[in-house]
Amino acid sequence: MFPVQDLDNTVKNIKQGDQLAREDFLESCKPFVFRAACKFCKRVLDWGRDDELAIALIAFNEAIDRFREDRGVPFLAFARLVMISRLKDYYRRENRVAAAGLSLQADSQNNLECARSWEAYLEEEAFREREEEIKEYEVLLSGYGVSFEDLVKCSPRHRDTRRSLLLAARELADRNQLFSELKAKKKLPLMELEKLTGLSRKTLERGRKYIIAMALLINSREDYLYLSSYLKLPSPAEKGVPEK
Amino acid sequence: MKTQGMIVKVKSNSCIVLTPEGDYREVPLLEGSRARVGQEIEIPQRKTLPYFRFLMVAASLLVVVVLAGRFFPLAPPPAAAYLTIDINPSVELGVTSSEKVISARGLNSDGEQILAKVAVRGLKLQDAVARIVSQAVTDQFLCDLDDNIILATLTVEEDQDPLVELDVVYEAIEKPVKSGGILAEIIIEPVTPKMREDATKTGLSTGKFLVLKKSGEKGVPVSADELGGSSLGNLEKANEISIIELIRGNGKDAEEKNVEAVKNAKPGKARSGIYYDGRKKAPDFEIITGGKTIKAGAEHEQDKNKSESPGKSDVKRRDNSKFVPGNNDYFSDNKNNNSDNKNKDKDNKNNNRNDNKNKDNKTNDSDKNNNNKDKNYNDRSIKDIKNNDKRDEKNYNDSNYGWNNKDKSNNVKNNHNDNNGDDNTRSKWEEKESWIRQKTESTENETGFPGTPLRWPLEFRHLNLHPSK
Repeated sequence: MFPVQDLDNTVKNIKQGDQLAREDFLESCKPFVFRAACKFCKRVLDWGRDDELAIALIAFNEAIDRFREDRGVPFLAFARLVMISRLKDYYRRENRVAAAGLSLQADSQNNLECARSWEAYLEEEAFREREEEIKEYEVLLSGYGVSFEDLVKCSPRHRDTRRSLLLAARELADRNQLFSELKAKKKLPLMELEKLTGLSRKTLERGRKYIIAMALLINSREDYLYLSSYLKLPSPAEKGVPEK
Repeated sequence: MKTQGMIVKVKSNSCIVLTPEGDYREVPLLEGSRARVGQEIEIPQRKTLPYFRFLMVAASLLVVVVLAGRFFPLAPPPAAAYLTIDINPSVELGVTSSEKVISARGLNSDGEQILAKVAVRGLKLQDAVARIVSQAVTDQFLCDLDDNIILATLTVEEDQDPLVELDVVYEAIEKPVKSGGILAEIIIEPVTPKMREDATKTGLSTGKFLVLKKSGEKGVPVSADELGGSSLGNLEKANEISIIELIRGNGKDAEEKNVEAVKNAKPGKARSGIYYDGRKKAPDFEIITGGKTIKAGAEHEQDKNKSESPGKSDVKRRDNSKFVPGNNDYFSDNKNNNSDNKNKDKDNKNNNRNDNKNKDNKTNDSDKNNNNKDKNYNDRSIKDIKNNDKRDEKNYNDSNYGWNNKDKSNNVKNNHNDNNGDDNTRSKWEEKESWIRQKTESTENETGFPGTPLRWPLEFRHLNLHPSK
């Protein structure tokens, strides 16, 4: 299911009626659904035993149909929002006390007004999530001694430099051994990166903070859906590294 | 192309955005726009050249410089008065109200020549005048044998005090002339601005124009060509006229009127010129201030009061009254006009002086014979003034204002003869003279120019008496 940002095109295809692609896509996204559902329910779920996972998968499927690119929300984030709201609905329905009142709302789901408020809710929720996500990211960066101000200063101006540094960050994020080293020591494994990317030590040194920030972002791209899907990361295929 | 960016951090008036390309940028926030973290905004593109600001600054500086260059030279402070000097070189100086020379133009070829040699712009008026005159002396426009006339005019607005006191101008002219050892007739005449305009139209200097006009009134045939081409001295010779008399006015009537006027008026307001005839071979001279003719001794004092040429400032009234019987009358009657005496009391050094006097008396006799080449040349011009003080006062009292132009030369001669050794004035100037005399006696042959000391002694340098100053 990676890279994150390529999903938009896939979703577009599926919406146009490619049923086979939909099946494949749902299958490949099951881990994501699982993780999101588990996070919301705050317990480890099991496929085939817990209703929550089924509801989440149905919601995910619904999200494919409902997704609109112009909303400015990446698909996975949107799907997560839909899944969470459906799970909330499910819990409310489970609650017998609230059932009577809520069933009415469920019936009037096709009501235009209701749909609009739901949209507004999603939008607001997406915004909130995004804000939280960015703040989380900032905290994460500060753990590595990096601030956004630093990034402004040291982010490479030239497009090619930026590209090569992003590729280096990706390399770092995708190699678990190197990345755990980064996490442990909180500093770049410059030697290894130098060998892997063929970039000069000087360039890496100069873009040190940028590489750290980007590697962190790419590595936990599922946690930072909004940010990572916003980035148009250079395709590693260009470098000859097969993805997926 | 517009770049989008997601705000990752909001600061006080800017925000940090992350672009899809992975670039972090700091973007200024517009006033009043509400930015939220996570919001997607458009990043203002750099519209033009990165050097645009610098170009703007350079362009505006250029504009300022060009404008300044245009406006300032085109609108200098207007000249408040014009002063012309006719030696033979004719020069006109424009003077601002702060007595600074702002324009100088030569009115004939000699004048231009002189101005090319001395820079007078921006100087104080008296400095500029002194420089021009001393340059004229060095360039031999004024030389000792010639009939030297220096005619200066100063434009004075009607009913106003002259911008620069005429005495100051007089002093500025007289100083270099004297130190150059030259006898010259100095005329300073206030004129109306109208007169200057008329003169400019005819192409003559104001001074010469004045002469032309006055001679026309008097019926003396002088042509404009004649005036333009030759020096006033030559003119005077050729036509056998006295420029002083010409300019001063004609006849007793005018004079007496002037006397009345001067009596009433404050000294500063006197609108008549200064006429100083130092050109006669005899050491006498007369200065007419405020329309009065005062013969040497008395006038010396009176004149001194106004203009502080060296030696003059040392004259003491008190001393005079002591030394000169009959002086009191003079003072009480007439001196009131010069209530603004600037005399400063200085220590009398009579002792040195008396010695000098005796010598002077002798040398004066020889001067009378026009032996200008005499070694005492310098002494004569200055010393005699002093020696004649008393004589002139007497004469003055006798004539009781009734001086007559035709008698003038007689008086002068008489006065010259009775040098009484009374020395009421004394000054550094005289000290200097005595020093010079001593020096020149020994150095005369070496220098080849009698009366010129090789160097000023240290104690006189601060007086700035040297012609080159």
